[in-house]
Amino acid sequence: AGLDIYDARIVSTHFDAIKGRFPNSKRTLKLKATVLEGQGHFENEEKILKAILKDEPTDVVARKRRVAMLKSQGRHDQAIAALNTYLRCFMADEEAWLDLANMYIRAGLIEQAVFCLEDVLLADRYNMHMFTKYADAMYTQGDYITAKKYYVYSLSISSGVRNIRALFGLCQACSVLEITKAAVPQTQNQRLFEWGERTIIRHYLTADKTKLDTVVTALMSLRPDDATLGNSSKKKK
Amino acid sequence: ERMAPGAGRGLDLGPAAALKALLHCAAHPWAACGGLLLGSGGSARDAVPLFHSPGALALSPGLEAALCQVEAYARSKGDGTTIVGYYQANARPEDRELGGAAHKIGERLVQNCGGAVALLLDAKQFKSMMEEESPGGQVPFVAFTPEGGRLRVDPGFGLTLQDAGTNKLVKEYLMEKKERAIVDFDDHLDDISKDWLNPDFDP
Repeated sequence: AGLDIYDARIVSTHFDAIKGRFPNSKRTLKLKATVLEGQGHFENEEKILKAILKDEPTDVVARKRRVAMLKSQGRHDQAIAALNTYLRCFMADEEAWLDLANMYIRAGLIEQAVFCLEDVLLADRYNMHMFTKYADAMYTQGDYITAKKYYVYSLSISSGVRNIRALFGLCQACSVLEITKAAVPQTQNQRLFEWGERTIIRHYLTADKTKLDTVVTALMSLRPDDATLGNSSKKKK
Repeated sequence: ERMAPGAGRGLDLGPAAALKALLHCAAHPWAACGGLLLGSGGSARDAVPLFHSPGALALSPGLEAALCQVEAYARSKGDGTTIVGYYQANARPEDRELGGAAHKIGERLVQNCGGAVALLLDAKQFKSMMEEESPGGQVPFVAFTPEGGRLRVDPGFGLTLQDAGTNKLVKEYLMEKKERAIVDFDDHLDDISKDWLNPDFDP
């Protein structure tokens, strides 16, 4: 906690107490590595982690700490490589797959991110946020048809909950598909868009009337049957 | 393509714009975050914080939804308000590059608004400013403008604060930890009752 807000006094007081109680513990050593990272002493941290991993290559915490360290240093390519290596051994670590997906997204490597997200989805089949994220990645890659399918799936597992991101995503995907005439049948996109639009408006009516006009105008500019407003940039794609 | 320095190329940041942008960056110190600047005629009157999650800036749909709505809002004001710029803070203070998302936004701004500036927070300058007893009138951002199809550092771009007391106000808010109440588009999508216009932060 002290490291999170970076209060040097809290960190040193508590770390010294832990070290006093458990001088030979590996956990203490890993904590020390984290403290060093907080202080920016990456070389020393790396030494400690290397030593731990030489002794015990399956130490999950040390491995993850190393990935975190690489991220802190901005060595993103190496962080990605290290996390890939970790996942080859620990394939069921859903959290790690998600972390790797985010790293790939950050690097603009959407295809690789998609691969990782698929593993997350396998593990967590009722998480609407993950399905929306997957749909977002598909949309970013230009696969609007798959994006639309996954937005719909996300919405289908989230009935009764406000899933605004998926609703907007759905309207956007339908809009692009309709405007570029990329999907058949076309009437379905129009109907899906209208359903999405109505649902969004219903949510804003109950939660935040101040933004209602803005949202209505924004959705109107996306309307598949009103291709002149706001979507000229999409047509150029 | 680029005008000569001093040929009227600059952005004057109004108190609401600077306050919201800086507090947004301060509210998410461990993440990259970004937002839009609204105004007209070389001055930014307001800021709309957009995102602070790692994926949001790099994935298109959220970004497009936000741009769409902010543009609709700007038009609805009917006073010529448009998006005049984009600000960003990186997760690591040593990171002096704008990522791909900034370029996407920059492209859109140039298309729709005929001019674009991306401001990257200089975290070290911001930190030392806030540590001063009485912060002055510096603007802790580095300006990037389009040149040859890319956003490049533009040292000749004039960044000014409309109100000399803006940084003092930012410091006051930070001391009261008010930055935690700043709402960005990310927060809004999670809970639409939260207002990305942040009316409580209009000085």
